Amino acid sequence: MARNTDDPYAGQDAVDREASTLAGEEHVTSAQGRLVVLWAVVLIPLAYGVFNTIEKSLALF
Amino acid sequence: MCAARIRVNRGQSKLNGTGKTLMAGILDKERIVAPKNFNRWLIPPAALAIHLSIGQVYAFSVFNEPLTRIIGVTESAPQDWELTTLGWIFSIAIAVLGVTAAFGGRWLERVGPRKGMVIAAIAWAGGFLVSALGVWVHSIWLLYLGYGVFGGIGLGFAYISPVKTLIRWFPDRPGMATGMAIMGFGGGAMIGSPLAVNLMDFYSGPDSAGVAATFATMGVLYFILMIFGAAIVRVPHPEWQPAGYQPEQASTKKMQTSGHVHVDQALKTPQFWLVWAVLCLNVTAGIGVLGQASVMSQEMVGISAEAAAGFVGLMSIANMLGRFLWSSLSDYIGRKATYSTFFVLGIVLYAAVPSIASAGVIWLFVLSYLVILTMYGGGFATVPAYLRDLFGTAHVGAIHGRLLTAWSVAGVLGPVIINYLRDFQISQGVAPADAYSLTMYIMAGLLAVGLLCNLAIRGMQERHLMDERQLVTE
Repeated sequence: MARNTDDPYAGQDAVDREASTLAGEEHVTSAQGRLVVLWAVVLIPLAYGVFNTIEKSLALF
Repeated sequence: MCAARIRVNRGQSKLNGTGKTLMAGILDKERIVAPKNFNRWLIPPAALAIHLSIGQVYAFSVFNEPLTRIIGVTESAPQDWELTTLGWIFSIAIAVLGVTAAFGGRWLERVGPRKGMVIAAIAWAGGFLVSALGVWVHSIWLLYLGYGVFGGIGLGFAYISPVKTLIRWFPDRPGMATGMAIMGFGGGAMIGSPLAVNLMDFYSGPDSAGVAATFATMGVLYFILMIFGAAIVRVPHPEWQPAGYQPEQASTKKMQTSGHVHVDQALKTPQFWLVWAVLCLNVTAGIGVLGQASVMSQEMVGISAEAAAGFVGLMSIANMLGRFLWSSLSDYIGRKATYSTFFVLGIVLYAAVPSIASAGVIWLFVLSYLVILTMYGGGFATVPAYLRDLFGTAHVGAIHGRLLTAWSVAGVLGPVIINYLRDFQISQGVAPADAYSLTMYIMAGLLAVGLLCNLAIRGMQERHLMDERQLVTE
């Protein structure tokens, strides 16, 4: 794989192309899985906070 | 073998444009450049992790009462701290936040978001740990230093670190992107409050109020969450653009600059100070109400203390949702129109609230304040995109950092106006239920000034833009 040494990002392009080609479909599936996991890490605590707040807010009604 | 080769490739030194070798450390900007086909929806969780952590600052008040009985445990002892002494912890943290964001923004531009987030995580979590030590040895100065100074530094770096990155990943929807992160700041208090209460319940016993252990645990938990954010953050490849996005078309919009303004130059433009005033006045109107919501609702419409706590909870949700909804809407109707809506709607609602309260229409009173709080949150979340439109992306993080001084000023101004005027009116014989009417009209007046400032904002003049040479050296 030819690398352009004038391009500081050439290495990462190469890495990405390589990873995409070698892993194929599996790469796409794992990327989707990663998306779900990353969002879950932040949305679960947020849901916990919102649930607690709504529970407290019921006193208003 | 493939994974090993990838690791080797990522770890090797690269050549920059001038042929000079640079060995990028794992925190450096050069090491977090994403590949061209990177999914940009992997970035908002990084920003949310940071903002959800630091949003805890708005829930610091849950520690106030337990901190007044560290020695007495079940009730306050004579050697225990007083509430007035403890009040300084939060004030120092917010003041240090403003100073850090103002002066640290320029440095963050250079080092990139990952290093900024790691520094923020160390400072924020370190602040909790030093505070835990402060509670353990009963030294208020360690709490001032820990949560106040270290925590404030963490807050300042963390608040602005992900903003520019998100704007670069979502050039087609910058309002929505920054709204997502800044929504996390609003949501952080909702997590921090029950988490602290549950942890103090868990750790408390006959000999301890459980505060020191709670501080230490929260420090560790927030450190993990923030480091998670730092680990997954990426900056876009220089040649990357979202599918279908045409920057030439975007820059033909009247308020959107085609170039970039240097942070030092930005401070010399009327646009910066007008946006500063817009943010300051919008925040002033909301922050005073937010701080006094419980007492105010009980005095104005006569609801119980328990119902008032529920009202405060609903306001927090409105504050959080407004951050996402208004900033997302601003991508379609424009930032100027969004702020004009805040001000016009705010004037109407503030002017109407005294009449609604005296008529006793509780649901309308609640609804009015919920709408006001959505606009308070929306003001914070829409401002980074406003800055990006006016000043470009090159220094938007640093400019945003300087603009946050408006928040510090509003943080003093809002509560002072509400508290001082209420006390003054009551001392003049006005009934508590009516004591807020004048304040509401003054808030409406402040919003009218904000509207004028917003209407005065014009697109950036060419003379303020950085030239090619400056852009290269920056």
